[in-house]
Amino acid sequence: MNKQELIRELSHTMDLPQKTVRTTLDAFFEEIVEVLEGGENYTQTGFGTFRTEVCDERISYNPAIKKKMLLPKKRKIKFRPSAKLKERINE
Amino acid sequence: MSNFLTPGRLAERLSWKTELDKEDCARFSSELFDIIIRELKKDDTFSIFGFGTFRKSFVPLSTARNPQTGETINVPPHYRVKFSPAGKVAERINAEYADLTPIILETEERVKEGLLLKAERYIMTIQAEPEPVEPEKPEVPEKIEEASESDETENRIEEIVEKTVFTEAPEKEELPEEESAEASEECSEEPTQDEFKTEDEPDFEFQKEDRGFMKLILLSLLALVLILGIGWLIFRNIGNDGVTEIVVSQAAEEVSEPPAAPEEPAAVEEPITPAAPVEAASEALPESSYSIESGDSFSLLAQRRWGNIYLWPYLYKRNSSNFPDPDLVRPGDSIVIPPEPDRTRDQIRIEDSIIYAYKRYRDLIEEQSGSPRNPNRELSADYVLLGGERLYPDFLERRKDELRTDDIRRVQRLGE
Repeated sequence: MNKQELIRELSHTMDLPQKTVRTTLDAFFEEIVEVLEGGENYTQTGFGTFRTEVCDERISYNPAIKKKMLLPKKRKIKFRPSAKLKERINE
Repeated sequence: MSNFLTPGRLAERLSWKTELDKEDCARFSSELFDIIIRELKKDDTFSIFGFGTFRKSFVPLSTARNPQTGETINVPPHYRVKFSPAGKVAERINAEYADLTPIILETEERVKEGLLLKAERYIMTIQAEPEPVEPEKPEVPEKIEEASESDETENRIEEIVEKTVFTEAPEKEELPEEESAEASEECSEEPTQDEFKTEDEPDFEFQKEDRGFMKLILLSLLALVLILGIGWLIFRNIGNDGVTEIVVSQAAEEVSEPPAAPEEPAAVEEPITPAAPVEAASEALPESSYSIESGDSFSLLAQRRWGNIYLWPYLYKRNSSNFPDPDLVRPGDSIVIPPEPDRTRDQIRIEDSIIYAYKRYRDLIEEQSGSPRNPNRELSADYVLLGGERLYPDFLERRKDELRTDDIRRVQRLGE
């Protein structure tokens, strides 16, 4: 399913024009990313939690150049599915 | 304020930005994730452009252990949902550390240093404590002179001498053992010689043992006199048939020392084995065989036997048929140690052997192009040439047709 199909589906269930759905969808994800950037978590009930985490620098092996590399400190998004999501996925 | 953003609060914020009201926004998000879940059940992945991808993966049945009770639990097969953010989102999240880049760590190639490097360091440690070396070094040239003075025929005869000595020795050994049981008085008479003999076995492994090097000098002088005497005797009796007889009697003199002290048989056996090859090598006489011990290498042996590490290609060339890789000798392998080459007389042969060892390394690098040891081999090849240059200045200049130009350049840089 691509974004267009998602929008069509949403506009159908929400009974809203596609244009509105599109802007709302963009604003919605933009909002989540902004919140995560600010260091907050976002929990969608029944789906899961998005949060960010700072990973320390680490040494890893790059098989392409056959050398060890020091990967720097990095901030990552972590997603933890909720119990409900797991349940529904495994139905 | 907690740092948890709930759908309710998000809907509130969303309603400011869009024309929808708060309730619609809340419904919107729940509908959206409902669709995502529905799609994930159907399909393995669900990606939203500009946000990220949800991926469903299958986890097969596995067993786990409860660390508290120690019981094993079967984890049923299930699906797991993973999320990976879109590149742009990941960049925005990581903006704080965006200036940091991965650093390629130089691998420690020199950790497995080649035998040549090891040997070079060995020389350094020897030179650091010059005492045990100094008495040795002057002797070697003397012996070479002797050897070069004497004819080839004499060499051969002395070869026979050596052989007879070796063959005679064990026989002689056995007899005194029996005698010693009866005549312990004899032993008490000659404890000084006994001491001498037992002391001198470790000394022959010179340069490693520094103890008793004064005794070593005395002994080697004695040995010199003996050898000179043998030489003279042989020289005089050269035409005669009785050569071997005299030789034997002479040999008996030499051997008379060890059998005199056979209180412990083990102590007697020892002097013959280690002493014999060393004598042979230092006198530049016959080829002797040697069994590799752990830690040995051609270069180390060349250093130990001939006092010159750069001669190792000469040793290697003699044994090249059995050892295709100069770096690869295993404990227990037996190698042939040729008589010590004379630096001026055997120059061509030594140079040939150096070229030979160099070419061997080059061939190995080409044959096993993926081998992790190739950097070491390249280094070893350079050191071989460097050794040649140190033995004979302008060796590189003379032999440059046979070598690769960039190797020559590297070696010259090494030499500086």
